Amino acid sequence: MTSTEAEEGATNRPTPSTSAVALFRLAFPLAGLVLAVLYVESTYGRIRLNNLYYPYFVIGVLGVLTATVFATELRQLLEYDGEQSFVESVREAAFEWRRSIGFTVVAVAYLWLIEPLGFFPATALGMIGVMLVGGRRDPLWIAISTLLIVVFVYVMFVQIMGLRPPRGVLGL
Amino acid sequence: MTPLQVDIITQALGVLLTPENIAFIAVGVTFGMLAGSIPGFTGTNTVAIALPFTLPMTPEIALVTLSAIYVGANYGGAIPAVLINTPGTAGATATVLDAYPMSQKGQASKALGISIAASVIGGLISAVIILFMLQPIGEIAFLFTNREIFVLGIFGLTAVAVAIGDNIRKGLVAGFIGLLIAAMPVDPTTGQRRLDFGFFGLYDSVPFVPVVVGLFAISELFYLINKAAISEDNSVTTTYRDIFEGVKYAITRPIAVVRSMGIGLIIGSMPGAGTSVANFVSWGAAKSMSEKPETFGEGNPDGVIASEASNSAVTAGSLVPTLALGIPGSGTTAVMLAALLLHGLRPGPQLMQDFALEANVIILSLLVANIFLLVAALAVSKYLVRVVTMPANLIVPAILALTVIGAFAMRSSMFDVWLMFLFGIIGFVMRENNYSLIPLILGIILGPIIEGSFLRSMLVSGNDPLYFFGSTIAILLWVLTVLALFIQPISNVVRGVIANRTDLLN
Repeated sequence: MTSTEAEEGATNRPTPSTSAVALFRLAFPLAGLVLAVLYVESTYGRIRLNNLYYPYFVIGVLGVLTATVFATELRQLLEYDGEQSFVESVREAAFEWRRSIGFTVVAVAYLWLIEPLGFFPATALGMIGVMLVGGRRDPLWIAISTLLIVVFVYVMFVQIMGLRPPRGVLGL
Repeated sequence: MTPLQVDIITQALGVLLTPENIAFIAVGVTFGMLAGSIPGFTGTNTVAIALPFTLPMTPEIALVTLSAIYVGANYGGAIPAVLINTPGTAGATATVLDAYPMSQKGQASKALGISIAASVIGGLISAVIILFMLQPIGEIAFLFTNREIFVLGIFGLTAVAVAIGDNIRKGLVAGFIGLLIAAMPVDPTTGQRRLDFGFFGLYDSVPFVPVVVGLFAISELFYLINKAAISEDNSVTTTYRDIFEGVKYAITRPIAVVRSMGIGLIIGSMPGAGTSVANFVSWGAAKSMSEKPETFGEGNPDGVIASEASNSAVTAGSLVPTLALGIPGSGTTAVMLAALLLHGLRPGPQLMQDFALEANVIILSLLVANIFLLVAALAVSKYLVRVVTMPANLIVPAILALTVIGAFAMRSSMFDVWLMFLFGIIGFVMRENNYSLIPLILGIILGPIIEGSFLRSMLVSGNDPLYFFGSTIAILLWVLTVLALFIQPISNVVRGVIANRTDLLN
C-alpha cells in the first residue's frame, strides 16, 4: 500500500461513535470529579473544618475548571458525527492498540507474579512476554537480551546498591 | 569582596586541589551520573547510598565527594530523558519535553551535547555566584516564611499549567487534580486518615518517584511497543561532531543559559522548592519569552537549555539555605545536611563564622565537579546515543524491568510498583486527550509543600485569610499569579488590536 493509499484509507474510515469518543475524552476530568466526591464523602464530619479549608478549596476550583472543560468538550461532541456503533468503535480501537493492550496484560501478569515467584524469575518471564508481544521471535535474541538485563539489574541493584527485591517461593 | 573572603577562598582552593580530593570528585561525578541515569534512582537516593561510605573519610573529602555525586546525579537524569523519554531524576522532567522529541527526529547526539553544555555552564556560573553571595542570599531566603512559600507554590503551579500545553484550562485541571492527589494521605497536623483507600503505601505521602516514572516512562511504553525504534531516523549517527554541535549551540545562547541559571539559583535557594520546581518554571519562562513558543515541547533545543541550566544551578542554590540557615534546599541537601552534622559541621547562620573554610571548600568543589562532568559526560554520551536506534521490542522490556526495580527501590514496596503502572495508564489517557503531564506531577510534588505552608500560616494568623496578602513578597506573587492566568488572553487581544491598526494604516 502506498502512503497516499494509506492516507486515503485513514480518511475514508468511518468515524468512531460519539459515545465512545465522549467516554474517552471525558475519562480524565470525570476521574478527577469522582476523586473529589470520594474525598468529601471520606472527610466531611470526620476532620475538623479548619483542616479542610485547603483540600476543599482545591476541590472547589477543580469543580469549576472541570465544568468548563466538560462544557467545551460536550459542545465539540455535539458537532461531531459518529458513524460507527459503540461496539464497532471499541472493537476497532482494540485492534489498533492490540500491541499496547497485549503489553498491558503481560505487564500486569509480570507485576502480579513478582511476589509469588520472586523478582528475577518474574522479570525473565515478563521480558520474554513483552518481547513476544512486540514481535520479536528469534529465541537466541530473546534469551540473550533477557539474560543481559537480569544480570545488569542484579549487579547494579542487588550487589552494588544492596537492594532486596521480593524472593518468592523459589528463593530467587 | 573583602580581603578576608579572598584569603579564605585561596585557602579553600589549597585544601581542595589535592590529588586525593580530585580523584574522589572524579569518582563521585561518574558514580552520580550513572546512578542518576537510572530512572527511579533519584539524586537523593544516590547521595544517601554513598553517605555511609563517607564516614571513614575526613569531613572535607566526605563533603566534596557527596557534592560531586550530587552534581553527577543531577546531570545523569538528563540521559534517559533524552534517549527514552524518562527523566532519570525529578530535575530532568522538563528536559524530556524537548529532548525526547529531538531524539525522535534523529538529533539525540545534539540533545545530549546541549544538555551537557547547559548543565556544566549553569553549574559553573551558579557555583561562582554562590561563592560570593552565600551570605546575602541566605538573608533573602530567610524572608520567605510559610505565607510566601504557599503563594510561591500556587504561582509556580499556575505559571507552569498556563505555559505548558495548548489549553490553559486542561493544564489547570491536571494541576489541581495533582494537588488533590497530594492531599489524599493523612492530615499533616492531626494525623487523621483522609482518602488513602486503605493502602498503607498512601498513608504518609504520595511517593512522587513512581508517579513521575509511571507518567513518563510507562505511558511512553504503550506507544513505543507499536514502533520499530525510538528514533524513526535509522541513519542517526553518533559522532562527537553532533555532540559538539549541541555544545556549541548552548554556548551561543548565553542569555538563555544565564536566565535559566538565575531561575534555578533563586528557586534552589528557597527551602523545599528544589530541582523539580526550578526546571518547570525555567522551561515555562523560556517558552513565554521565545519568538516561537509553539515549538516548545516539539523539540526546541532552547527547552533543553532552560531545564538543564536551571537544574544544575539548583545544586548550588540549594546549598545556600542548607549551609546558611540549616534548612535543606532540596531532598538531596537534606541528606547532605545529615552528612554535615555527622562530620561535625553545624549548618546555620554561624557556619560562615565557625566553618567558613569548609563551606567554601564545598562550593568550590562544585566548580571542579562540573569540569569533570564535562569530561565524563562527553566520554559516555557517544555510546549511549545508540539506544535510540535499538529495536523497540528490546528497549521496552528493558525499560519495564528497570522502572519496576527503580520504583521498588524507593521504599522496598510493591505498592509503589503498582502505583507506577497505574499512573502509566493515567499518563496514556492524558496524552491521548492533550492533557499535559507536567501540571499533574507538579501538583503532586508541590501539594505537601503548599498544604503544609497553608496550615502553618493559618495557625500563625489565627485563621485570618487576609494574612496571605500581608507582605510585599506575597502580594507581588499574587499579582504574578493573576498575570500568568490572564497574560495570554490579554496579549492575544493586544496583538489583535495592533494587527487591525496595522491593516488600517496599510
